[in-house]
Amino acid sequence: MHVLVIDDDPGFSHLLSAHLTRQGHEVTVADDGIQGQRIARLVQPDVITIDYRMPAANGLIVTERLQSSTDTQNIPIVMLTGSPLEGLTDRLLAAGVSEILSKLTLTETDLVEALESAVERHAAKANESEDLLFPGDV
Amino acid sequence: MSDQERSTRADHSGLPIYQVAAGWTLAIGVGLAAWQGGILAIAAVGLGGGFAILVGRTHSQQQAKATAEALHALADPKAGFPETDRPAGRAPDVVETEMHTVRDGLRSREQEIREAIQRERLKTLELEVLADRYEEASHRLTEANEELEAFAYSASHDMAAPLRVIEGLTKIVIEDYGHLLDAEGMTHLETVHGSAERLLALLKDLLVLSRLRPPEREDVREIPVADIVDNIVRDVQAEIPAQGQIVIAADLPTVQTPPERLRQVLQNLITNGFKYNDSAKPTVTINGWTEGGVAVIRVTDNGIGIPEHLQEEAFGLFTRLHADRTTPGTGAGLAIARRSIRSIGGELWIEGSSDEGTSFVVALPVFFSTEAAGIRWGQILETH
Repeated sequence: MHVLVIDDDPGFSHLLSAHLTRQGHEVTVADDGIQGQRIARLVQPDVITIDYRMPAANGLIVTERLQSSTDTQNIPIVMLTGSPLEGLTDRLLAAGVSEILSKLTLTETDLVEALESAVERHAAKANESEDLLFPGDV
Repeated sequence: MSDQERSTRADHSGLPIYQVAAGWTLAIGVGLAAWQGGILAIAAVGLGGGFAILVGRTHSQQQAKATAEALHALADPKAGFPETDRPAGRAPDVVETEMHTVRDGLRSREQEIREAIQRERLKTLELEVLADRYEEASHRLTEANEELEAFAYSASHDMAAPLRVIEGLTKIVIEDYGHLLDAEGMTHLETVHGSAERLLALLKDLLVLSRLRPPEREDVREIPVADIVDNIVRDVQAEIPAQGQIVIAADLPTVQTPPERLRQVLQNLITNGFKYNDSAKPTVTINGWTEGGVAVIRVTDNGIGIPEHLQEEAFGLFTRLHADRTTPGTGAGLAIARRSIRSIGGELWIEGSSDEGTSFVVALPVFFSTEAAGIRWGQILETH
């Protein structure tokens, strides 16, 4: 699985890379949301992890942009956050975030499981949409 | 007052006048009373903080009435008894002297009362100033508390991610590169990892504490405590030692409360009961009852117990009463539990002293009220 990590904290990006690479996954890191959008278009990762609190554009704004662009709208997004996002959860899920994980309690197993399940669910949803759009093709 | 009345009043020679009593009244009046020795003329005069009853004895009702009025006029400073008003040379000297004595007494009493009123006014003003100061200080305290909580939250939050990096990467180094280190190097690294883990746990507790707010009304529902306990027992199976057991009484109360908060507290007490317990058969007993609108839930264990003099200390933030570092925990558990229970209008304390275990008591109003929770919340802000 190819994971794009979008986080302005280089320490945390490094930790995520270490966790994912030792589990055999490929990782690309972007230091902010703008760079993240560009890299997502270029490398077409299987899944994106995104921080919420980032300068310039926060995780919600970047998610909305990724989801509204035809190049990146099919890439599942998992949010990793240091702060509880009470009241924002519904907006984040509506914007297209598959899952929200806390940086504070995150474990390697949780991380990998969350990313894999986001990819699977996204693939299943994509198939479902194709079935609905092109019933004659099945 | 007519001339006729004045002259009548002047005829009461030698009438004894008594100041009978003093006390608080505003009533002013005159009256007559028949008595075997004649007729009593009575004038009651109220004056600020005191009053006087003046009594004169006469032999006819007409005289008595006039005497009473005379007494009244004499004692009432508003009615006065102007010198010019009195027909000269006709009032007997004895009566006049006694009347002057009474009048002087009343005037001096009036002066005392005025001074007392003035002192009371000053005291009231001082109290008002103090009340204003108290309100201002209380407001500042609330603000400072809120700022402190915001700071605690922000600091915990900002420290959490870098700490997670330290913890996560040291763990990876231990697991993937540990073989490259000698025993001493490995011990150092494991110590770094352990410290980072402990600090993370502290931060997590600080975040919980700084975010604890009075519950929202919509989170409150009526729930049997037994349901909450059953749910906890299912979740904490892994933390119950092999020989351990939980005894649940049949008649636990039903309360209106935010279930999640009560659940967290009870879970904390139940798991503590096993954590600090070296009995051959660790047991946690949960019983409860309702008395006078209060639901009482008691969680008793047969663990190592908390000596009476340390029982309040146990609720302090990050207080660990046991030196044993191998038992996991930050020491914030009971502080969080008490604060949590207070935020829903209840109280949590340790009952009795025992070498054979600890008995925690949770008292909650059966019917939830936002006001009660709010009042307790005010106390939490002031006492922490």
